[in-house]
Amino acid sequence: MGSPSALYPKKIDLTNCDKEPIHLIGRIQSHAMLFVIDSSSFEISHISENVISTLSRKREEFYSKRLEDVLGQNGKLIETYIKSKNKTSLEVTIDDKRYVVVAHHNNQLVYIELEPIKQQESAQYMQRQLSEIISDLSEAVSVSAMCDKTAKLIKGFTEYDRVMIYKFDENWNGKIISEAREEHLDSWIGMHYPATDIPQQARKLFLKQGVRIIADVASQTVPVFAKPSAEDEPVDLGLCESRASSPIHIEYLENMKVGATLTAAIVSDGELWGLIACHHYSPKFVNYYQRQTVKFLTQVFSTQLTLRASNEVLSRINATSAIRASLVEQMSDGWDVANGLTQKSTSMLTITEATGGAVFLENNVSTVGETPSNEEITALIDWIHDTQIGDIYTTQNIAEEYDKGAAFAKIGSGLLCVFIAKGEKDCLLWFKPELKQLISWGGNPEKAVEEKGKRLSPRKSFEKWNEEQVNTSLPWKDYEIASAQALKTSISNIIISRYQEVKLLNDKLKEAYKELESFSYSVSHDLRSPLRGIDGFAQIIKEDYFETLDEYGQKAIQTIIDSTSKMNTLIDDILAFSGIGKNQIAMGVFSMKDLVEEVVAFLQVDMKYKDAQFVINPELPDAFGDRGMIFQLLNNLIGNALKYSHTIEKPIIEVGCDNSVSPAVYYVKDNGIGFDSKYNEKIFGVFNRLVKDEFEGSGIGLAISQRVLEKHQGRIWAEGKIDEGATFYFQLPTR
Amino acid sequence: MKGLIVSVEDNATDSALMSRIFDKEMPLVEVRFIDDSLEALSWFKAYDDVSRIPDLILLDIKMPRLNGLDLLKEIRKIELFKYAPIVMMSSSDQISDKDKAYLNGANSYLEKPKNYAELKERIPIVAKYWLTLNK
Repeated sequence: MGSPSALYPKKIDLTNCDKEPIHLIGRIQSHAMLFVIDSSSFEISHISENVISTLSRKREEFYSKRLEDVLGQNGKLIETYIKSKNKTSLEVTIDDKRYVVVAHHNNQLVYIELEPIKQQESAQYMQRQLSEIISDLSEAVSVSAMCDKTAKLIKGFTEYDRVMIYKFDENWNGKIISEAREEHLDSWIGMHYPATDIPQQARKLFLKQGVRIIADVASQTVPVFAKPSAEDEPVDLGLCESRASSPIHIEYLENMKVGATLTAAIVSDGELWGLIACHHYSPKFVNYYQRQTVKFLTQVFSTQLTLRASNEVLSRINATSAIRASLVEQMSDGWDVANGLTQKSTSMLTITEATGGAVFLENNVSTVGETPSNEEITALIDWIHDTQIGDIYTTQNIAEEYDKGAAFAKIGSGLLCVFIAKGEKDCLLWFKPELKQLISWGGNPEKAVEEKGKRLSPRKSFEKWNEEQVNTSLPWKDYEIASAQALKTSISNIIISRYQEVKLLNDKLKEAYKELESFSYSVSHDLRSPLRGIDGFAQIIKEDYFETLDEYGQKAIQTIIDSTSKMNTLIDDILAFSGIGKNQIAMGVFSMKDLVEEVVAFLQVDMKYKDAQFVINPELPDAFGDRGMIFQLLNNLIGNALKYSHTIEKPIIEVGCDNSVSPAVYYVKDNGIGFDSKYNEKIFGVFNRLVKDEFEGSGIGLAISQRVLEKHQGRIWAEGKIDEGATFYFQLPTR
Repeated sequence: MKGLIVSVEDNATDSALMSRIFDKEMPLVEVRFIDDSLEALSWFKAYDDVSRIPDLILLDIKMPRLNGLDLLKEIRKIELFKYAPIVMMSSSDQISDKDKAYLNGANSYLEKPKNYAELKERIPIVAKYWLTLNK
C-alpha cells in the first residue's frame, strides 16, 4: 500500500511552505466521506478510509464499481444528481444518518462528499434572514462599519467564539480590521500577519473555493485511497470541501489553542481582498447550508466592498479637492508656491497620508513634517530625474531601489514623487515612514511562543514578518496618487500664471521706472528755480544789507545760503540718478588705470586729502563699458572711501582688482569707519544713509553706482565692518 | 546808444534776480523783461524801431501756453529779428531741447545756473559777449 501522500513533503516549515502542495495532501477531515468517480464511466477510483468502515466493505470492493453497487438506491440518486443540471442540494440517509451530498467536477473526475446533517437543518434554514442581511450591509456607512456588521452577523448565526475580518495589503500581509468575539477573549484587532502565514497557493484555493472549515483541529485526518492502478498519481483535493489542512496550519492553530475554524474569501474585483476568519476554541462543525449562507453573505459583502471602494476613492479625491483649493489659495498669496505648501496652516501633507513632504522649486528645497535632509532630498531628486521615466514615481521601499535611500529609510521608505514640468527637476515629494516604526501589536504576540518541539511558532512568524517590514512603508493609495497629480496640475497652472503676472509686473515696473525718472527729472528742475530765488535773495541781503544785521541775523542768512547749497547738491545727485536711466549707454574699451587717476585728480585728493595714502594697482585691466558712467561710479566709490576714512589717523585707499576670475573684479577699499555687515544690501538703496550728518552726502551716490552697474548688466556689492573699513567690488561684463 | 536786452521769462523770481544782476554788473544796458510768451510774441511783432534792434534776446524754454522753443520759431519769422542774437535759457540739460533750440534758430543755449553766485557770473559773460559781437 503506497503512501497516500507520496508527493507531500516530509518537512514543511517557513522556508518551503510557500511550495507546499496543499491540494495534493491526500487526506480529508474526518467528518466527511469522499468518493471519487470517473466522470464518464462513473466507476469509483478513490475513497476515503472512513467510507470503508462506514459501509463495512473491504477497500478492494469499491474500485471500478459504480455508486449504486455500494450505496444502492442512494448511489442511483447521487448519479442522477450529478448528471442533472439542477443544483438544489441532495440529502441521503445511510444507516439512519442523514448526509448532504456535495459534488464537484475536476479534471475528468467527480468528487462526491457526504457530510453529516441533522434532520431539522434544511436549505431554508437561513433564507429568511438573508434579505435582512443584505439591507443591513448596504446601510452601513463605511467599509469599516460594514466589516463590523458582517463580523457580528456571522458570529450571530455560526456562533464561533471569534469572527475576524482580515484584510490583505498589497504585499499580501494581513491585518485584522474587524472582529466579533466572546467577551472573555482578548481583542485581536490590529494584529498583523506576514504574507507567509497564508501562502500563495492557499490564497489561490481560497479564490476558487470561497468557504472552508476545519471542524476539529485536533482530530485525525482520513487518508484517501486510490485504486491500485492510480496509486502513484496523487489525487487533487483542491476543491474538496472537506480537504485536510496543511499540517503547518494545523500546528499553528494548535499553538493558538484553536479547535475549529471557518474561513471565507472576500473577493473584490477578482482579487482576494481579505478573509473572514472564524475561530472556535473547541471542535465545531458548521454544516453545508450554514456555510452556503456564509458564502452568500461574503459575496454580498464583497459586492458592497467593490462598490464602496470605488466610491471611497472618489470621495477621498473629492475630499482632498477642498484641501487642494485652500493650498492653491495659500500658494497664490504672494505667488510663493513652496511657502504655501509647507509653511501655512494647511500643508501638502493633508492630501495624502504621508508624514513628510517636500517641494523642490528653482533649486530650493522646502519641507514639512518628517523628511530626509535637504541634501538627501536634492540627491534623491537627481537620482529619480536621471533614472526614472515618467512624471510620477512611487515606491514603498526606497532603500531597495536607491543606494543612498537606506540612510533615510526610517522616515522615508515610502516615496511619492510628482514632477511639475516635463524635463525639469521641479517636483513635489511625499514621504512615508518605515512600517516597522508604525506597527502597534494588538494582543501579545509572544503568548503562544514557548511551546517546545513545535516546528513553527507564531513568534518566528512574527519575527520574519518584522524583518520583512524593514525599509518598507505603507502602500500609496490610488486616491493619494490622484490627489498628488491634481495638486501638481494646480501648481503648474499657478506657475504659468505667476510667470505671466511677473512679466506683466516687469513691464509695469519698467514703465513706472521711466515715469519716475522723468518725474524726478522735471521735479528736480522745477525745484531749481525757487531755490535759486532763495539763494539769490539771501545773497543779495548778504551783499547789500549784511552790515545792518545783528550777529544772529547774519548767521541766519549764512545758514540759508548753506542750506540751499546742500539742496542743490541733492538735486544734482537725483538728476544724475535719473539721468543714468535716461542716457543711452556708450560702450567702449578704456584704460581703467587712467580713469582712476583721472578721478583721483578730479577729487583734488592731493589738496583736500593730504593724509590719505593711495594704492592703485598698476595691473588694473582695461575695461569695456561707458567711460562716462564708470567715471561717475569711481567718483562715488573713491569719493566715499576718502570721505569715510578722513576721520582716522592714517587713511589708506586701495583701488585694485582680482584677475583670477572672469570677468575681473575691481574693488575700492578703505580703512575708514566701515559699516555693519547687515547693511551689505541696504547700503545701495536711495537715501539709505548709514552715517551721521558729520559726513556730507545725499545718500544717493551708491544708488547711482548700482544703477551704473545695472545699466552695464554688471554687478556691485559691498563688504564692511564697523570701524574696519569698507570694500566695494564691481564687475563689468566682458565684451 | 544804450544796449538793449529783451528777456522773456515767466518766473518772476528769476527775472528779479537777473534784473538785479544787470543793474549791478551792466548798468549801462537797458533790459526789457516780458513775463508772458504770447505777450512777448505780440511785442516782437509790433516792434518797429529799426534803428534799435535788441542786442540780445533771452528766452526761457519752459513757459505755459507758448513755450520758448515755439516762440523762438515765431520770432525768427519776423523779418526784423531774423538775425537777432537769441539765447535760450533753461534748467533742462536735455539734448533734445538743445537740438530743437538750434533747429528753431537759436544762437546759443544757456543752462540756468543753480545758484545766485553762478548766475551772477554767467549772465554778464553771455550778455557782454553778444553785445560786443553786435557792435
